[in-house]
Amino acid sequence: MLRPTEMAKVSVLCSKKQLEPVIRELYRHKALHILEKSAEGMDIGKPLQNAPQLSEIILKIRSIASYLDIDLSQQPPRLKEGDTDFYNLGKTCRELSEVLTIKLKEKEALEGEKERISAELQKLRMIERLGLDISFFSEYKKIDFLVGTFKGPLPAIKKESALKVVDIDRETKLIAVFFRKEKKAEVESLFKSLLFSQIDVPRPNGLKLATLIEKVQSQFTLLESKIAQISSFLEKTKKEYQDFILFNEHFLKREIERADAPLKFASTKNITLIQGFVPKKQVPRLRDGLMKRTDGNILLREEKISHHDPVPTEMRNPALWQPYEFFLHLYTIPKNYELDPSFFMFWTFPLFFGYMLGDVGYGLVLLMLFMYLKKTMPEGKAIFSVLTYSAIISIAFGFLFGEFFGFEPYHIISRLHDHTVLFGNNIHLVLFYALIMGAIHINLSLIIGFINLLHHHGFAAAFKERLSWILLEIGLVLGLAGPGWGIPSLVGWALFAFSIIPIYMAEGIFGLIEIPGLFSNMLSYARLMAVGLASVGLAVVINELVAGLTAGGSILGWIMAIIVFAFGHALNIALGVIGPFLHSLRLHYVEFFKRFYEGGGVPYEPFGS
Amino acid sequence: MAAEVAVVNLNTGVIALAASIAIAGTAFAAAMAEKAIGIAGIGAMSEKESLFGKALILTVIPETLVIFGLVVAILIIGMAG
Repeated sequence: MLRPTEMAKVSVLCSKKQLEPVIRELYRHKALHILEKSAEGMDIGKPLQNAPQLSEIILKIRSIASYLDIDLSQQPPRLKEGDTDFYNLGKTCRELSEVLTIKLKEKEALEGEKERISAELQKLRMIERLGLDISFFSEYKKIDFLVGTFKGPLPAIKKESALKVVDIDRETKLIAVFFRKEKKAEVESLFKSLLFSQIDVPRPNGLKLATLIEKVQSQFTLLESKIAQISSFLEKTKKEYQDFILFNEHFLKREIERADAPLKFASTKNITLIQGFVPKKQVPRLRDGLMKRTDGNILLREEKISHHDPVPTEMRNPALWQPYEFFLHLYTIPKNYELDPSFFMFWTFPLFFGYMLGDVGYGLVLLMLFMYLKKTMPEGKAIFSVLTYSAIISIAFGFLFGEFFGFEPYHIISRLHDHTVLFGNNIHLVLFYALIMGAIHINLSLIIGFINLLHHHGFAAAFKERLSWILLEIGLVLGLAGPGWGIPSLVGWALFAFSIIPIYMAEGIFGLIEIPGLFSNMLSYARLMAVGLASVGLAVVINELVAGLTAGGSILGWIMAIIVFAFGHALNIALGVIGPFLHSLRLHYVEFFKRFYEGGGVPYEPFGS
Repeated sequence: MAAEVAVVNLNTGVIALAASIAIAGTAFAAAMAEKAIGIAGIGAMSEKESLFGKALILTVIPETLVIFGLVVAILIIGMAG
């Protein structure tokens, strides 16, 4: 519970012939965290024989999925895994992929054509709006014409030209101008600045415009129906093959993981050595499974774990404080032999957060918000669980401080009981409790550090590096508290002086420099008071504003007051989450972890999970 | 009587000023330190995103300065009685 799962280092030795069943069995157990090619003087293994074939099939499957727009991240269907005939599977996939490629190419070509026809149709419809017979736009000997749209006022065109203008919308006009061929440059220059876009009039070839439009329209409809046909074919194929694709992609991914596994093993010509870490409790089961599968033709040995081994860490915490593992993933996860701080953070993180925020109203708002977010955003479940719990503690402290959205109807330990006397006695009390919490927290971290060192390096190291600090504190407290030069005081100072020796032995001159550091770390917990004071100070300012606005009794004043109240407190709540969250986290990462937490663990990723 | 009031007010004023200097100076120092750390932290994060947790912690470390400033300010105000 307090420690990560205990791991055993195992070596499995097997012949080439046994490799595949061994991999299959290891995969089934999902317990072995493979230590990549650990033995010196051996090569890395070669993938199993079918690896290239599997890779090829999975590539085909993935391309089919992208053709059919199948989302591969969704849960695959539960189908029965039989003895898969990879030859047939590959063949099916290749054929399907070929058909789809052809269909998609065809669809693409049709869509290009559709676009072209649609532009053509649009052009003809434009010309239709001019209301001129299409035979006007034939080739003449001496006359040329220009058809197009432009924006702005009609330019002055020479009288001998003929023109027709139709309004398309408020700005755009459609024009057909007929002029002498030699005037072409002149006419064109007139339209240059008017965003003129020319329309090429098709040769009518003796057809009427309406007939022409009908002809193009029918072409367009035909194309559309062809495209729809292909789309419905693709849709049908998707429906038919979705499960097949999802299942086989998932299945092959695992097969490939198995087939590529030997790349992580050490191997000689005939023998493969697999090394890794298994949770100690699972070793017998794994051994039995492997023996059964290979008829006892392998060698499994438990090795001694050395200090240099990268033993993976599997944190195991009950659901109540499992969310706090999130903070360790954010920072660095514990080494395998370390105490897992999640349990301690479960107690102290919400405590600090609540002590800083400490307002019943804010706590209730946040509690509802975080419970809602926890439900709607499953990916942030851990962090919202932590915050929900923190909000509850905030409400509890809110009752203690007597704060409701910054209003203080009663005073038990008031942080700010009267705004005119900014620092009443009580703020000192809040500061005092904060420092007491700091002292307890830091001593807790020293004790945990002591246990860690005791476990890993023995009593001498643990005494020198951690217990000495606790003795130093006790000595100082006794020395300062003792009356004058009485016996307890003398004992205290003696203890203080004595404890400096092991500190110097363990950490040298830096240890001595660190002595004031210990107390400045405790003072750092003053932020529990400071951040809270800032939060409640802002709340009181908002309430003062509201009171000022409502004093007149006018309706406008009340409306303004409601707006100020809502926005002001919303802003203060947002600040009230960020500040306490960061500072509570920091107190853990910096002050608390400093004395026991090493971190830098390797996450436990068993083969097959 | 009037002179007495003025004397008391001056004392209170000086104490308040001293407290505000304690806060202002430390806040300024904390801000300068956090600026530098924040920039470096963002730079490091752009290389390796998993450093977020560490960068965050480094950024809030200098805030201790201003907290100490606040403690000192409270002690100074305590002198006002």
